[in-house]
Amino acid sequence: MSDMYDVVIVGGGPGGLMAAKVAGENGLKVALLERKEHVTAIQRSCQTMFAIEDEYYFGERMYFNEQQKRLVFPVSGFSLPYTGPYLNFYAWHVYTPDGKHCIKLGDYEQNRAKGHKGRLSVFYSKQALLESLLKDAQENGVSIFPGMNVVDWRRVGDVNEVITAEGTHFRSTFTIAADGINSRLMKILDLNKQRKFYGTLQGAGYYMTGVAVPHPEAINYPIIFHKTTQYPVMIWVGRSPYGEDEYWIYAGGPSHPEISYKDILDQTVTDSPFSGWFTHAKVVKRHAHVNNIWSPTPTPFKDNVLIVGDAGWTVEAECTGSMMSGLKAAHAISEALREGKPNRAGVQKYISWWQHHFPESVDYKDFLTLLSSGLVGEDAATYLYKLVTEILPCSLNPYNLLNSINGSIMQKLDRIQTERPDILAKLQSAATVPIDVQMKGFISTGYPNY
Amino acid sequence: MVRINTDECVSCGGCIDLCPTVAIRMVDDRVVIDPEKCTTCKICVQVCPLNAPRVLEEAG
Ligand SMILES: Cc1cc2nc3c(=O)[nH]c(=O)nc-3n(C[C@H](O)[C@H](O)[C@H](O)COP(=O)(O)OP(=O)(O)OC[C@H]3O[C@@H](n4cnc5c(N)ncnc54)[C@H](O)[C@@H]3O)c2cc1C
Ligand code: SF4
Ligand code: SF4
Repeated sequence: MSDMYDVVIVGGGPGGLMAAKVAGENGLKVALLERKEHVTAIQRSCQTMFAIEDEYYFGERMYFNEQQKRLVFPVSGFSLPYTGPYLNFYAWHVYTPDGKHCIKLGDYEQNRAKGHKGRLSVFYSKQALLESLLKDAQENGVSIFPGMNVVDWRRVGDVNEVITAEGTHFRSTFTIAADGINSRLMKILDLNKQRKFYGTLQGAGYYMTGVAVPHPEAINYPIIFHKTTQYPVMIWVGRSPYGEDEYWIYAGGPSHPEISYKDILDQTVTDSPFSGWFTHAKVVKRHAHVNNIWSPTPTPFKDNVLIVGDAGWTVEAECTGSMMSGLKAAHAISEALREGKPNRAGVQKYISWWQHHFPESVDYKDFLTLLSSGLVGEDAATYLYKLVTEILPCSLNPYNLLNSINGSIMQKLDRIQTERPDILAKLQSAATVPIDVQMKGFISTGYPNY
Repeated sequence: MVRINTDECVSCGGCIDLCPTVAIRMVDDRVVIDPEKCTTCKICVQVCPLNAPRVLEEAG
C-alpha cells in the first residue's frame, strides 16, 4: 500500500476509535486497523459501567447527562453524544464465599429512592458508544480497515510502517498503539522490558436472562477461593444494557494451570452457595478475556508511536481512560504536524499529560492490593469480611474501594486479636511485604509477553 | 499442533496476543491457528479461559 498517512491507528476499541474520530475532525489523513471484521462487536469481557461517575478519576470528573444524552468530560473539555440504552446501579455488594454475608458498599434502598441522583453510575452499551465513534470517524474521512491483524512494525528513516498478517504495509508519520491490554506494539517496541510483570488475569462469563439476585440494581460480587490453589476468584453479577432482563455474569482471577474459569463459572451457576440466583437462568451469549498485568509504561512514546489506553496501563484504563488518552494523543499529533515538529518534542504535551494523569496521580500498586488482599485465603477472608456489618460508603474507584473495606476491618483489630490472633498475625506480616513479593505466586503462573 | 474449538471460542483475542510465534489471527471474526507457525507450546491452551484450544496429538 503506497498511501502515506499522518497517523495509522492500531486497534478499534474506545481508545483507537476516539483517536480516529478526533484526528479525522482535525483534518489529518488517518487509517485505523482492526483485526475484527465487525469493528464494534463486543467479544471481550467488559461490564460497561461508566467509569467513574461522581469521583475524580485520572484527573477527570466525567458524568452522563441524561437530558442531553451526552457523556461529559469537563476537565478535558469535551462531551460525546450517547443515545444508547443505560441502567442505573446503586450499590456494590461483596459476598463472602459461603454466601452468608454481604458487605454493603453504598446504601441500596436509600440511593435507589433518590433515582438517578442516588446512583453510583450507569451500565451503558459499549457497542452503541463504539458505533457512534466509528460513524464520526468515517464521516470525517478516516479510512477504516477491518479484518487486519497487525503482526509487525518498523521505522524506516522518518517513516513508520505497520505490517499485517494479510500482507499489507501501512506507512505514516505517527503511529498510535491502541491495541489493548496485551499490546503487540508494546512488545515489538521493546517497551514491556521497562515494566514490571505481575501475572496474567483470565476471566470467562455469560450474558444471561432469568437471573434472580436479591438486589438487581447493584453489582453483586461474591469473592470465592479456588479449592486447591486458594487463588481468589471474583464473581460479578450485574445488569447488562444489551437486552431486556439481561445480566452480565463473570468469573475471573489470576491464571494457574489448575484453574479453569469456565469450570468455576459453571459451578457457580449450578452448584454453589449462589446457584439459587440462576435456577431459571439461560445463557444468551458468552464472553472471555486474558489480561497481562504490567506496571504502567513510564513514557507513552517511542519512535513516533504514541501509546493509548490499556496498551500502556495497568490492568485497565477503563473505556473512559482509553478515550481520554485517544483524544489527547490525536490532538498532540495534530499540533505537532501543524508546528512542523513530527517528533517527540512535537507530542511532548501528550507525554506530560499521560505522566501526570496516569502514573503520577494514582499508585498502581494500590490497585494490585485488590488482588493481593485475596492472598489471606478463604478462611481469613470469610472471617474478616463478616466483621463488616455497617453500610460503607461506596467508591467505584478501585484505588479507593478496598480502603473502604480495610478501614472498617482496621477498626476491629482488638476483636480480631482476641478471636483470631492467627489472622491478625497474617495481616500484620502481609502489610510489611512488598507487593512484588506478595504477588510472586501470580507472577510465576502468568504468561508475560516481553 | 493445536486447533481452536470454534464452538467454545468467543474470539476474545487473548490467545492471539500471547502466542509467542504469532501463529494465531482473526479471520472473519473467528480465531485460526497457522499450523506452519504453531510450535505446540500450549500457551494458548493455558491462557484460554474457555478451554477452546485443543492439542491434536498427531500431525503438524
Ligand atoms: C472483566 C472486565 C470488566 C471491565 N469492566 C469495565 C467497565 O465496567 N467499565 C469500563 O469502562 N471498562 C471496563 N473494562 C475495561 C475496558 O474494557 C477496557 O479498559 C477498554 O476496552 C480499553 O480500551 P482500549 O481501546 O484501550 O483497548 P481495547 O478495547 O482492548 O481495544 C483494542 C482493540 O485493538 C484490537 N487489536 C488488538 N491487537 C490487534 C492487532 N495486533 N491487530 C489489529 N487489531 C488489534 C482489538 O481487537 C481491540 O478491538 C473491563 C475489562 C474487563 C476485562
Ligand atoms: S483465548 Fe480462547 S476464547 Fe479467546 S480467542 Fe483464544 S481460543 Fe478464543
Ligand atoms: S500452541 Fe503455542 S505456538 Fe501454537 S498456537 Fe498455541 S500459543 Fe501459538
